[in-house]
Amino acid sequence: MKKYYADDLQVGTEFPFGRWPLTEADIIAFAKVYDPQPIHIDPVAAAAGPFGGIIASGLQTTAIYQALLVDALWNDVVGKAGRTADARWFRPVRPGMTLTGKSTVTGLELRPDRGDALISLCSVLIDADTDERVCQVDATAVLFMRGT
Amino acid sequence: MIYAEDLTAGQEFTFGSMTLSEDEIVDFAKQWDPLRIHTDLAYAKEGPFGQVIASGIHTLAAYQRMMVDGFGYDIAHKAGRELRLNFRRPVLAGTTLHGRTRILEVTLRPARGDAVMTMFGEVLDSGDNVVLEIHMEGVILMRPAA
Repeated sequence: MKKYYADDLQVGTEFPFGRWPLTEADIIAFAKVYDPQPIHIDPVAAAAGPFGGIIASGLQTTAIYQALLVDALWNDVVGKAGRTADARWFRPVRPGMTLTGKSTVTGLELRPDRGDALISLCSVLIDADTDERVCQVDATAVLFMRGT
Repeated sequence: MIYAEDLTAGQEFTFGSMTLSEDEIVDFAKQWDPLRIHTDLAYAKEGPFGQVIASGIHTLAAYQRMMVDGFGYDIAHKAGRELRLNFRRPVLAGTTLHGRTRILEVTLRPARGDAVMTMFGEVLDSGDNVVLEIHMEGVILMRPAA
């Protein structure tokens, strides 16, 4: 299995995401547990609301981002801790939408005295059918450097 | 129903609690954050915390659920716009979380019938240590005209 250390990455390195289709049942099931607002769980109430139907919880969109990023990058990185994340949502995520996207390394500060590095990543989720941007997450984390 | 006019800068809300068991931490992470520090008990036992820790997304999800429960499922929330998260401490299995949030600013937009609201939330563990800080910006509906 491929394993990246901080030294193997550079600013501009891109990690493409897989695809994550989302049904109405998926949206309702998630929101019933973690974000039970009518706009996410009640198709009748949501039909009369601002989006004309249920939309995914922004929390679920953020969870999908994390699942896609783990698959695209974190599973192959050696050692790390998440520090910060700044998530912005641009469009509602509706039933039937498939999310995909990519993550790009936007900053890498090697700290050889600590044997680690501070990495910044910009991840964009798009609607796979229209390429429209749905969500962007700018995150920072700590990775290990390759041992000497 | 709580509308934008009911919310003002400086208001504080406390809510909770929710306990994240080891099983719940593992189940959540298998689906949304399948890293071994969250999903693999044997691996995590040898790691820096000696046990699995909750996914940061799981902690955020717990905050959201506690807040929605706290507001009685009844806030006229239109859309989330931005969430800035600062992960301060690991959340260990069995920890009972609680939360608090303070409204920072409410900007009414009468022409649109809504308001932009910013809040600062915190998730705390059983020892009252802050584990997660959350800056949130969202849009709340104004009370419909009678």
